[in-house]
Amino acid sequence: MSGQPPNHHDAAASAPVIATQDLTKVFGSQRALDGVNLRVGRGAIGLLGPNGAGKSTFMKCLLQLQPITSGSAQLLGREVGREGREIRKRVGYTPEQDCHIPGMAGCEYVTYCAQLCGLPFQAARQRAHEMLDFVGMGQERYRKADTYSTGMKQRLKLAQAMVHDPEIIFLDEPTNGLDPKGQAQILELIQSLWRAYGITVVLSSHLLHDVDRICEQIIIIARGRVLVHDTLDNLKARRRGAAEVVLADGQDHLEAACRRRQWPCQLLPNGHLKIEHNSASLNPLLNLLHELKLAPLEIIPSPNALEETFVQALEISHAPA
Amino acid sequence: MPLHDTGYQHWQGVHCGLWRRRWTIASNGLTACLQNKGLRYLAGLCWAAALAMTALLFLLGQLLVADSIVVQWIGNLSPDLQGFARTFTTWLEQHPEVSVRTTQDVLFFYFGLGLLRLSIFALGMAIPFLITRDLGSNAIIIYASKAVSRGDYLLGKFCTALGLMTLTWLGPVCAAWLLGNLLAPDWRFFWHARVPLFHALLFGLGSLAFLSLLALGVSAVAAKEKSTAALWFSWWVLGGMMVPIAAHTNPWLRHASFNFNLDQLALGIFRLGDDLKIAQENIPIFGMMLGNVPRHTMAALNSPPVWGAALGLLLMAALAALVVRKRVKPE
Amino acid sequence: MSAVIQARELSRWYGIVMGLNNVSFAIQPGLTGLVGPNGAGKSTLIQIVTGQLQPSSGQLTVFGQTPWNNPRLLRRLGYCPEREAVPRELRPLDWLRGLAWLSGLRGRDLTARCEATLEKVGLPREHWGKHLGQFSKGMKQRVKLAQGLLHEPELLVLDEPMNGLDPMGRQEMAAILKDLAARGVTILISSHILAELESLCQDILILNWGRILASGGRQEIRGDLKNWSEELSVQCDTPEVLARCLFDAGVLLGFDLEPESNLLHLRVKDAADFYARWTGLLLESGVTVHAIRSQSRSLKNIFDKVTT
Repeated sequence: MSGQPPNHHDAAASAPVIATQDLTKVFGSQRALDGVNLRVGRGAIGLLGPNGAGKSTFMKCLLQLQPITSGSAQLLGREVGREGREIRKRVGYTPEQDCHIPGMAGCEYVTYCAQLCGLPFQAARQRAHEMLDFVGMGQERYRKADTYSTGMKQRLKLAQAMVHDPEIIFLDEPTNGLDPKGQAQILELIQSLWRAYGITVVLSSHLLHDVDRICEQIIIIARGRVLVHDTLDNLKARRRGAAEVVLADGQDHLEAACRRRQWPCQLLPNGHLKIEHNSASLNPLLNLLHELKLAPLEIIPSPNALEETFVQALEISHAPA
Repeated sequence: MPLHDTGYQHWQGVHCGLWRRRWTIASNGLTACLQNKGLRYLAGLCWAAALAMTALLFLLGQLLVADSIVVQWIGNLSPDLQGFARTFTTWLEQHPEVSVRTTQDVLFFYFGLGLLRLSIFALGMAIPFLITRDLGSNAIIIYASKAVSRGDYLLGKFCTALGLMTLTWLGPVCAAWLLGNLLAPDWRFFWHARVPLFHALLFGLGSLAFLSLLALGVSAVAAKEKSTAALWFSWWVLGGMMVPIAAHTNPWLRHASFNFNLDQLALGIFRLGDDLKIAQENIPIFGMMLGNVPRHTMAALNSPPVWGAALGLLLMAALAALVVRKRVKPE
Repeated sequence: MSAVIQARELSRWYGIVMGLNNVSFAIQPGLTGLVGPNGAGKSTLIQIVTGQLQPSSGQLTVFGQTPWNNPRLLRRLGYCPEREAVPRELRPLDWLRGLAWLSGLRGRDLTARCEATLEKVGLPREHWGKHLGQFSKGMKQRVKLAQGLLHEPELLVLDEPMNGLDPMGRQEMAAILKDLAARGVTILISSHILAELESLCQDILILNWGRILASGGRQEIRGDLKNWSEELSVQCDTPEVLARCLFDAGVLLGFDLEPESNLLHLRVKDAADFYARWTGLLLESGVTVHAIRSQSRSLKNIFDKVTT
């Protein structure tokens, strides 16, 4: 039976999938995580942060790939340090680096991974093939996994992370090394995980447009602390009233007109104009454009909300890039 | 319903227990090892040796049966040998508890040590399949994200090595004992041969466990298959070459060779010295043959440095455990 | 304006395996993006440009000379490969100093140049004392860029330069590259992240299966596509009303409604005519507009249409 389309409004009310209390991880003299407190409900979660500032350490501590120094964390309601095996029956993970268990064909590998999570052999074999269908792998599944191309390897990683029907999946840079078509295909698969099948997705990526497309909740971790934990809609709403206008020509006319109306206007490096029109829809801006007889090629509302949030959060915390 | 749902399906079954998962790791590892043709041939060789051993035991048993073809054939070969055979037969008939036990003790001692060398060779071929390949392809992190712990993984791999050596050592030895005594002229052979079996099993289980642990350690040293296999074989060969040299200069240095240590352990368990003494007393012609053996060899046979060997094995095992603990980390 | 890199009927074969097949193009000064699926021949092309491979047939010239076996030309080139080709035991300054020394710099000039380059690529001073093996992926990328820029090349070839960089790092590197291009350096970037190339590069080179599919400016390529039509999507409160209005005005070739997301996807007949009437039609229809996005002008769309 397939999962129900989720309603993430009652996610906050129901039990959190991830909960941490004063989670701290120390590497020698460096505090990678410094007293992190989080309660995250089900949904599609984007995990962002600068390199080496605690983002990957956070994920590794939750998955018990690194031991926690102090504090506590619960994943799916169970204590991370104590019930590791039980938790991992219901958790999937695609690591960033190239990894697979050598010497097996693709379908054997996914079957083996399912068995390692406790599925009996018959069920494991059946689900392995179903997952390989789901990620779009054809006859390649009967070839040794060592011979796969990058795109195939990423699909295989996704298949082995999902084969045991987890409740939550951690994806670390899933589109790394893929060409544009491959990126689009993997992103579509990931998008369907939460939206169609109710599996919580935690996506850790540096590609903000991927995160924008897939995630509804955003967590930014920098300098070992949680700087931002909010829904994407809220973040975008805070920047409502701004729009990026793409014109074929006539930018200076528009700029001048905006100045006259006292709408803050900024010419961006890519030649687009960022205008803060402070209204709930684009219609006043359209009126202005119509007056000036200028045709907009694109008008993007609250553009780069995620990027701006990221930059702002880092500036506030004076974190190194 | 006309259109079937082939999208993602949820799974609501019952999970298997922990031991089942450990078994999966072990059996998967063993299957991977046995995909190597050379290893399969080696295992076949071990079982062929078991067959040969069975045949030998059968022939020895036939010496007791009067007018058997074996006796006549020996008679045709040479009178000396016939005399030996007659003495041996008389001894067998008169003191079966001692004679059967002593004979099979000696035979299984040499058979066990021979098979041990084949098993060490087989382990060397299997070393890349233990931990090395997993290190090379970053598989440890995949295992770490499944419902098994590091301990389960290592236990599974340990059982893979143990399983391989059951195939190359324990299986052939037990089969040879069973069949050899089954084909003996008298049911009492089973009873008299219980001590050699006990010695063999004691030595076998101890040495197999040690070798499995050592193999795990060696296979965790590097991520390249050729490096770790080379380390195993060179340790074995160089150790073997060093033993006679060190015997004259620094006797304790011999304990750096694991093969030497295992041999000494076998000597201590089987008490080969005692067996040879008994044989010497009962079969004078045998005693004359043994008189030609140099004194220090006899001394070594009579009182092997078992404690030194055991200490050496323990240290190597500890080192292997340390290496494994350091190298097998989910990073 | 003469081309910086010129290829004429360039081919490179590895036995029977094809690397590049009869490829001809010209790369102008400025920022050019090199895109293509995996295995399209991008690395072969980069290796020929940087003088690591010889063509099997045809010709490739950089600044009018062949790069193969040409150290004087290679001095004017900078190359940042995709692999992590940095020595793990050295510190960044030591490595750069070694490379600069090889290039002929000496004395105070040497250290000053190395430090300036490291600052230009934005590597924070506190990391200068660490060994390269301890660096994160993003920091290694910066050091790679530094070694490419050290000898102030006129042509810079970058293979996936932003791999592993966090969003701020990407912004910084984009700014550095734009700055270099403004100063006259020709930059060739090979990348899979089309969104980034879109904001950086005006000229694109699309490869597939060892052959060139398109080269030149984005608008030129768009103009040449036969199956290309202007596609937009509008997010508004009542997309059906807008659809009817536009249909009645006779500007549509086709449309698609997505009622759950309040989206209307349009395909228009004549782009020029459409845009002349666009704002008027929107205001006439009376719908409340929230977003207008172009589907057909993006690099991704061009890439998809060219590679099908």
